[in-house]
Amino acid sequence: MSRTFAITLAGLALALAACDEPLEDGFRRRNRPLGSDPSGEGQPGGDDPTQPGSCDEGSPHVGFAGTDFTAGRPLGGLGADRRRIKPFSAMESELRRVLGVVPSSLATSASAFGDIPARWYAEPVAGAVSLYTTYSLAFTACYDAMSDSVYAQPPTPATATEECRKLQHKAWLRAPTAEETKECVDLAVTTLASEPSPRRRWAHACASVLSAAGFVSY
Amino acid sequence: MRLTRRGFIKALGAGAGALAGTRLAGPGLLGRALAATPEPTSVVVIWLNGGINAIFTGADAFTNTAFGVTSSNITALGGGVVVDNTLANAIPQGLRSRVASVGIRHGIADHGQAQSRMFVSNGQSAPLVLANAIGGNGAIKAAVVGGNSLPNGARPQPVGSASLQGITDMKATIDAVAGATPAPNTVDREGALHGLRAADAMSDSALSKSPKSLASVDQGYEAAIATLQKPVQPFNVQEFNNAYGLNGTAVRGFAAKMAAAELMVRTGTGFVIAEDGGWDTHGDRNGNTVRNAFSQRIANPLRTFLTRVVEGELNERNVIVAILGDFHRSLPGSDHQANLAALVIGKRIKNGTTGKTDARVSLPPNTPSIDGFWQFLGAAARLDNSPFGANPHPSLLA
Repeated sequence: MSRTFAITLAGLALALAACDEPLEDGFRRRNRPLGSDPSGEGQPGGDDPTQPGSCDEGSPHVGFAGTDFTAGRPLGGLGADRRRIKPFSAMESELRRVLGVVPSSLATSASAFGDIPARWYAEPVAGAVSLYTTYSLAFTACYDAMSDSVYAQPPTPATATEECRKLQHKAWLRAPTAEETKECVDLAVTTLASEPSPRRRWAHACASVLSAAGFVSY
Repeated sequence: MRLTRRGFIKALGAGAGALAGTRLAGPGLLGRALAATPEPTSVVVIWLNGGINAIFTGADAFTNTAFGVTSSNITALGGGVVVDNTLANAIPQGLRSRVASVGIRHGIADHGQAQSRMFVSNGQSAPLVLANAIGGNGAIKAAVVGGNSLPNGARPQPVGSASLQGITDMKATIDAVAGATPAPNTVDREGALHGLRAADAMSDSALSKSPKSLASVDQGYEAAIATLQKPVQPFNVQEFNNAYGLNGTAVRGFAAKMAAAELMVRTGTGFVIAEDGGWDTHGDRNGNTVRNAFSQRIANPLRTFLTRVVEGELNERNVIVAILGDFHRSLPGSDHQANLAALVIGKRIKNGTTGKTDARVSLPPNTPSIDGFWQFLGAAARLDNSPFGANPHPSLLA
């Protein structure tokens, strides 16, 4: 009995130890435990196993002409550069999803984001003007949506934290970090303290969330 | 902690704010590189996508032999610069002594290669190197009007404080530099400045994890914040529309691109590029295709721009306009010739040519290549220490 128990324990210990070590699969790619990352988007860094250099990336694939087809393949980290900019065509439904309203000026704002000829596809590109326009549209939408009496009161640390966190989660489709919420709260409570209209302070905080990369990209 | 360009610039902005002792982070510091030129300076490139016929850079090489050139459809501007009348008529009398033809013997006869390599110098984006060196007061250092990229879709990495910004709508751009019409539910510039700073800070995680795919967002925040830090610059969309014969505010056709180029020059942008398509004119043996295209699309907006911005502000600004394309068109069928010349107009330019071809569209073997063109532009911009090196076309500068 004790011998069986000892063998079982030894086997279990071996299995646990093996889980701590990098494993290699049949393609010589090593498996390593990921670090904690609340956003789940990968963590760049020199010793990060998600970055190039932490495993064998693959074998050369040489064709009949002696050309390695993988030679020009750029290396990239796991989870890096996964986000893409939302096209202008998504803005109406996205504003409606988050705020329930769409500003009328949206209908005449397409060219600020760059025209794409009919039947062509172009990866959206952001810029100073398109981001300012996004902020401007978001501000109007936020102001129009924030007609509730709660927004007639100046934001406080408590109310702003609650509203910012809720809006960030809804707009970005993930839970915000404490630092991200603090940026929104600081804007509403401190930075814009001289703004006489509480509703405009709230609208600015809201517009900042909707102009952040969490909303303008996916 | 890893020191990134993004982190460094943000730290610089915060430090500037602390130094200034103001609530705003050092107004204009991010956008105010020390001016390396003695006066407000802008280089405007008009890129004819597909190629530029040599009748626009040295037409007399073909008189009575090719491309339909005759002694009556060309104009001698002086110093050996002879161009087709469609172009000559677009140049105001007061600027005709400030035109030169700059030879570029690049040896490239492939569109993609020409479009890519014409905008690279020493491994960097030549337009952004130039814009960064010009410095100046503009928050947006380099702009492409009517699009978001250089020819061949290039989106270069920023150089110093210069990133490439797309200008696709006049009203939206004017709103950014002057503010929107006040209303309870429209944004104010100061609030937008603080709001975009907060948005930028909230984006740290996403931007650092997608540095390439969200590069334009990162650069866009920086340029937008710098723009909002500048004093208000009042512009009127209608005034531009009247001058350039436009309706609406989208930057689509060539006239709208020249209007947007004027707007950007006036805001202090150092490098502007306006691209026009349809210049891959195979089979244009008599030159009429390019003459018609020039007179119908280019001539009037170009004349307006040159009159208002280059001639009209000779005492205030140094504005240099360069007209060029992928390469010259070859003979006999207007195909691809592996060289070109740029027609350059500006305050410090004088009549002369290093870009006159022979009757077979060949340039002399000692004609400088692409680097020489950017070296010339650096000298024309009067950069203190040109990052491109010495100008190999000194005879073309006053």
